[in-house]
Amino acid sequence: MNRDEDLHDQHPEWPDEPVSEGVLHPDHEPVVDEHPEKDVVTFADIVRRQFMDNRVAVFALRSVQMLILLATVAPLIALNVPYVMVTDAGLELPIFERMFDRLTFKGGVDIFFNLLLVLGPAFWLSGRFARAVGLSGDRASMRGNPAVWGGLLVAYYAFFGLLAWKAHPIYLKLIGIAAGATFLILVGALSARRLTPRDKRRRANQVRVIVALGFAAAFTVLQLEWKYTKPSEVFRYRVEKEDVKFSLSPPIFFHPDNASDDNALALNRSLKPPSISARHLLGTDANGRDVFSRMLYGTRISLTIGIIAVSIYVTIGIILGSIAGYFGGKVDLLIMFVLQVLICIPTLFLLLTIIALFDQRSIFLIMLAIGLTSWTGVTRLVRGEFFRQRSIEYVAAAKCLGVPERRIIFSHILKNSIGPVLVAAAFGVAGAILTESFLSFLGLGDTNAPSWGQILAEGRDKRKNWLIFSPGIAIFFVVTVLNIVGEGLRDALDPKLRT
Amino acid sequence: MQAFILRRVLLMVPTLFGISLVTWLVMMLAPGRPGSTGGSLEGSTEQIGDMTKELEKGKAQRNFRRQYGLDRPLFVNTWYDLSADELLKDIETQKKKIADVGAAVKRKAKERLEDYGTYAVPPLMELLNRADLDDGTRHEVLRWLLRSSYTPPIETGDTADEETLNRNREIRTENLRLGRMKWRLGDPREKQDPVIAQWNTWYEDNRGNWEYGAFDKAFITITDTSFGTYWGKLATGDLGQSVIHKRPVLDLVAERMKYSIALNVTALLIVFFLAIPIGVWAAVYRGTKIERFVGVILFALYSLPNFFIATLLVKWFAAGEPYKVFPISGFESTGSADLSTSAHLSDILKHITLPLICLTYGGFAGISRYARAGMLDQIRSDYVRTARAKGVGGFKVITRHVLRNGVLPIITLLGTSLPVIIGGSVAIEFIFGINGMGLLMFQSVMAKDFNVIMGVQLMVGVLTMIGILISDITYAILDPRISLR
Repeated sequence: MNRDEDLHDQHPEWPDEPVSEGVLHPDHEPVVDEHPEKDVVTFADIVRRQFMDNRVAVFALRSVQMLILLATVAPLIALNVPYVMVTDAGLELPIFERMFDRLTFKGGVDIFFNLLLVLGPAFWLSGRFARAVGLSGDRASMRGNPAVWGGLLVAYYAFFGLLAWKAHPIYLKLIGIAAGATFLILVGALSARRLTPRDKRRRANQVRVIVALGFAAAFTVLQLEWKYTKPSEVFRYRVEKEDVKFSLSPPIFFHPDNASDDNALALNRSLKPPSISARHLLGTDANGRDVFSRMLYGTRISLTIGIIAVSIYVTIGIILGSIAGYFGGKVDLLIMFVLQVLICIPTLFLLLTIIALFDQRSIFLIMLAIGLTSWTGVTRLVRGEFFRQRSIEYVAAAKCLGVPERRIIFSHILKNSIGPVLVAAAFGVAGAILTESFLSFLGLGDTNAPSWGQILAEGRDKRKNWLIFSPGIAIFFVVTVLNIVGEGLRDALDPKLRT
Repeated sequence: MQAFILRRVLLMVPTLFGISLVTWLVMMLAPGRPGSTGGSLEGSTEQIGDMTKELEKGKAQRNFRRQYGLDRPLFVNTWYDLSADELLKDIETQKKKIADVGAAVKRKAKERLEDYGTYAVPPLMELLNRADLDDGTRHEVLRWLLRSSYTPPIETGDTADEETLNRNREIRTENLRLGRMKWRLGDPREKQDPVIAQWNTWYEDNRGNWEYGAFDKAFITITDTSFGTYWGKLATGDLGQSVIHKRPVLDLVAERMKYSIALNVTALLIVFFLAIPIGVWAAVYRGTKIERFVGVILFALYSLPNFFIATLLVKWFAAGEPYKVFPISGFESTGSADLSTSAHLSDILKHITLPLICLTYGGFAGISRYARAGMLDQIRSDYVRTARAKGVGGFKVITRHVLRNGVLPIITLLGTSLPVIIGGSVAIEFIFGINGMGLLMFQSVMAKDFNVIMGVQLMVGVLTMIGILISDITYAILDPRISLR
């Protein structure tokens, strides 16, 4: 470990000023002109490198990313609607017609992920194209071939146009939003003269804000267009029996909420064991619904609940913890008293009490309930970190310089104590997912959403292996993978384990 | 040391207050009116369409509202001064069509009238005697008067002495008599007047009930509120009646508590007695292949959801697919209490083996990892090196030096893991059908038996608090440095 890193170690906030050019960092590639931003080794860089050295943790992280991707593309894998269909009437794009249709997708979570599926590539390609033409136009920062990325972007918008023309007029509005975001990203990328690493980070944050605003705008538009519904059609029937000249369907041709064939219940064809020939990879449940499809859409529910519930309580925890830890005294006493009391009430019981008070249980209620009952751990953590950091010299220095307290708290101390919070958040997502599936296992979750716990509850009732194992293993996998990520993050943040 | 324990015990008082405050706040902050009429039973599929359950639920809600004073103003009650005009406005509002006033306004007015209860009788009497009301409104006033003058019988549950039964009989006769004092909508004035006269005589006879002195008013202002009712009942240890079980909540919880405590304490003991040796072993043999393998297994166990494992174990070992070694549910067989002690014990053991496995493996995996980390912290420290240098044998260093310091912090985990284990027992009690507090909680949530829900939450809070207290004191005894702080 060289001296330079040693300093960063104690003062992660230390400097962003570039180390003089040509300096060779040990265990690092030699600094070359192409990567000027690598000049500065921030604390985040060190942690990232430590994390990336841990093969198991990286695998776990990739698994989480894969799960998010799977949740996003779920309609392309499993839905009872073809992608493309050519009939006498001409070309149809049924899946895109129904992407934002209330009859096909019932919940807000599904609509959000579908939006991600439709708009995500536009934003991503815009970013890649912006990088390919070079940030601020200097050749040094060019990454990738502008022609390739530009071509893909154009192709994507052409497809969007086709959707707007063939599938549903709502895509016109989405094109507007996506094009606006692309334009802003490109203008931003090309405007500045020369970008220092700090500028780049700021620019990246701006892009993130643009993307988030784009999503928010699109979601609002969708909420306004929410009333649109189309009478349901039995596509399986049409594809098999009618004069459909060409059709391309998702591999799993089943909707998560509808019985896989209309007579399943009447003909006692529910609870089919898994079979590849019947295309029920994980069998069907007591209502004749395809379990694989339900599991896939259940991923959306689990991940959303995990992430949103944890963001709620991490936010609460950071605010309360930093106030308690920084100011101490009476405020601290009060917050700690509330904490002491809440610790005495087992979270699950409090959660059950809150849930009992509501007649309608949506998954947003579950998220909110988990978020509002589980913030004690993070608060304690942040408070402890603040106590520790408060007495380090850099805080005194900042005070002497007249930095406002709000900035000392949020952009100095908080940045230095965010590591353990991230670790807790990774474990927390696992915990929240577990809690949610337990609640729906008890039948206290959102009964309209396909949830893993619900499938497991049915498996318990019917004593069928495929109904027990598929959700059980899925929950186990997600929880394990998230725990490994948390563990890896903790090790990466631990200066004692630094190589 | 005594000072520390005393301080710690005294700290329990405000904590206790805090726990009940949280319970109260949860009820108050809930949107809408917890336990108000209406609402469906969605979510509990097996109960939809079951009319008796629906009725029971309505009763549960009324019961709950009265028990916790939810039908009273929050902090200040001045309903002894209700004005007739105010009441008239509400009566007219709740009669209007939704389209005219809006559903929320209409519902609010109705709920207000329902809440006033007997406080509404004097103004209603005044309204009844007013000549300028039209027939429809006067009939509506009568309807509310019938409702407000109704005296609910005393809740008895299964146990009732002769006196209360007699009292209830009287109340019922009186209610019946009052219930007949009415006219039908559209009846002419001549038919209404005798009824109004009847009401007037009744009101004159019972006037004393609605004449408040200054002291009465002050008393009502403070005590007959949500806040006052709740704390008053808590102070007297009255947690109300369970509607489903028809028994006082306190009795019910106390009865169920013994199963939960037996299960959880056993689980906790097993966890600690197994986890610590494993943790120590893992720290001593750190880095070896077998240790790493065990580490992976423990990590996997830690993330394995216990309701999944419990479901599997029931299927495999209790339901006869493929084995039928253990009984499928319950804490003991019916009638096993009459058996000899050893037979009884073995019966219980047979019942709780699977639940205990499910309850322990998660905590066991977690705590052994803590124990390992704690040991490793100490093994690297200087005093261990010194001991080794002095020639203390390897085994002795571990047991005498490292173990004491390394494992001590685990005792604090005992306190913090208690709420987790109690929470986890909800799943286990649910799946294995053990009649503990977790199952009671679940059933009450399903049936919306709010008195029980609040009671269980309070009791679990108190239990956990005591558990944390015990672990803190134990830690202080074992590590004198703590009490000096």
